[in-house]
Amino acid sequence: MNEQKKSDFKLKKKKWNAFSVVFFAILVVYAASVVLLLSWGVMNTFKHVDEFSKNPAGLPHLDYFSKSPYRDSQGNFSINSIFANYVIVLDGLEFRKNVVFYTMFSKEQVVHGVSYSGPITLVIFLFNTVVVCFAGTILPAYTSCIVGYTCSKYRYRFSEFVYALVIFIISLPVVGRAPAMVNLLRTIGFYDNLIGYMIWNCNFASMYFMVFYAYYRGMSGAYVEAAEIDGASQFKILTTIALPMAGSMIAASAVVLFVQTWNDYSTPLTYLPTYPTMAYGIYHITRDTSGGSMSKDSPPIKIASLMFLSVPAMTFFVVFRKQMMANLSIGGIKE
Amino acid sequence: MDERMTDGARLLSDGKKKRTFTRKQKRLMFYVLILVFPLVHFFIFNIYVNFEMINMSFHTYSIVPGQAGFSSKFSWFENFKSVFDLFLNPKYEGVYVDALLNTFLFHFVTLMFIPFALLFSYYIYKNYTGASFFRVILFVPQIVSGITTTLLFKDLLSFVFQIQLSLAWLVLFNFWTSFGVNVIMYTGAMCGINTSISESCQLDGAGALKEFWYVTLPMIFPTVTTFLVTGISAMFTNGANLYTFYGVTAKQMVGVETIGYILFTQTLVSNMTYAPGMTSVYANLTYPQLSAMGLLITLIAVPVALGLRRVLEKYGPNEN
Repeated sequence: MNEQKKSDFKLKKKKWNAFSVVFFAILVVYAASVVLLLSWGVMNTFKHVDEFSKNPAGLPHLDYFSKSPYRDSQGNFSINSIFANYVIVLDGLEFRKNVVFYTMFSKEQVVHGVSYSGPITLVIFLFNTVVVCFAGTILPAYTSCIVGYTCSKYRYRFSEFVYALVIFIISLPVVGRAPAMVNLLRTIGFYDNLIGYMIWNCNFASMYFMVFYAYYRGMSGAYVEAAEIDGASQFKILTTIALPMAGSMIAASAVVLFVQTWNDYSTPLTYLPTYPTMAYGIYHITRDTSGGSMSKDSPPIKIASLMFLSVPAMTFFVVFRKQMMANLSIGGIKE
Repeated sequence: MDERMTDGARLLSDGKKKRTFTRKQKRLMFYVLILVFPLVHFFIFNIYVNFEMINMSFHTYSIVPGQAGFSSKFSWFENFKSVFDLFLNPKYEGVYVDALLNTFLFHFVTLMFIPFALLFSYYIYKNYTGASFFRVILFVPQIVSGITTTLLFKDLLSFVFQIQLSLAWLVLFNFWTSFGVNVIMYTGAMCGINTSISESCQLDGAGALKEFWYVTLPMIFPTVTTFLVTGISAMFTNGANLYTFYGVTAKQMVGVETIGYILFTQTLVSNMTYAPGMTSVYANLTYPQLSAMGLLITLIAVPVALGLRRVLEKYGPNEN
């Protein structure tokens, strides 16, 4: 009877009170602001540039393009589809960047430059994004997991020293180390270099190290001992027992890191200036102020370019919503 | 037939000795091999970079034609003087002082909101009406790129409401984007509380707010402390989305900068030294000067962060 009461208690929605009413109202306002902002953006991607200037807030007239199709400057083609803005973005994609710098050991200045235009630019963006996302998700997740396992299961004094050192370093509020990092990366050749970026991102000193450390500390040593008795090598124990057992945690952390990396333009902008990712490339496009109705400065076209960045992220979120919203706390996962 | 010998070697059937390792030795060898790369990586990209930042702060660099790399000179506190000059010299018209004040303003607004964030998190944790839906909505601004929300916000204000962005709107926008993150983080911490504690509290007749004040808040206060303490350094790296809005021209366009924005943009446009043909019209500080600024901020932030942690741990609510 008591168990029944307790489970009923859990399932019942809470009754309204002053606290819930006020906070419900505020959360509704916040939710409305998020939905309206994004809906307004999506809606305007189907507007003709001229229509947007006359009617920025209203719904698009879907026959506007058939009455006033976009034409390219040579009159070679016209676009009268409601997806015209997306076609223009794809056709007009371009990325040009030159970086010039000295390193600690170079006599001459080092010059890196790239120039892409047309739909191939999107392929370049996607390729760079895949590499950067791999470097920013799988590599740090696995590195943190392996070092967390090693420090927690191999109880040498040095393991405790490493743990304490990592806690100290990541909790130290150091500001302004980016110039020193850029200078170091330029000196060792990792600056503006995809391979160097991948190596640089094999960094275990993060919150995820602490999470994996705590997880493996809580894991029974019986699994490892049984494997050792059966003659398994330490490497085999790591790859066939330890890593698979943390598979869901690695996946959860990789999923969260993936979205952060997908949306991050400041890191590639700083450390991979000639390897534009989707975020960096789209940001570069939205900064174009060359003017003209077909230029990327036109709001509907600019917003359409943003959708190339946001729609995949939202799709990823819909697919992996459970993993992303799983509660992650130090000491374990609560699903 | 093989014989195991006491010196750790094994005699094979062909008369040769093969070294064997004990379990302890195997574990130690594996331990060393696994940790070599991550630790070397850690020392180079964490510890060395921090020391290099300090080293750069006390040197000036120049490019000597024909000579490889930079020529460095120990310059004592010259870079630090340059940094103080930015804040004290009238020729800068108080730009950097305003940036510092804006930095505090953005952080102050975030701090003011923390009690409300805790209550909103509590609302979702307790599964009040719409909690599942709101949890998803709070995630959405983090999923949709910051570029998207920033530029949509700017275009909405500009084209629909005919409003020019100002400091107040930027503060509101930053508050709006960080709202979801804070609520989600605290909700995550609350979900780590053992449900039996919560249930027994309610079976004893405690109301929602009483339970929040006497049970939930003390149990998640270490998480709150962590966010408050890490917020000290985050305050100085917070670019307030200004680069997304305006690139390097925030000062010219809207007259607003923060210390984080200055550090970020100067890192992009500047260099170790002003080499001929390499200057940028936006570069005001060299890398050594930026490192000096960062070091000064760190020297202030570290004791403040440690002191804040000590105060919160001593006087904040705890589980006991």
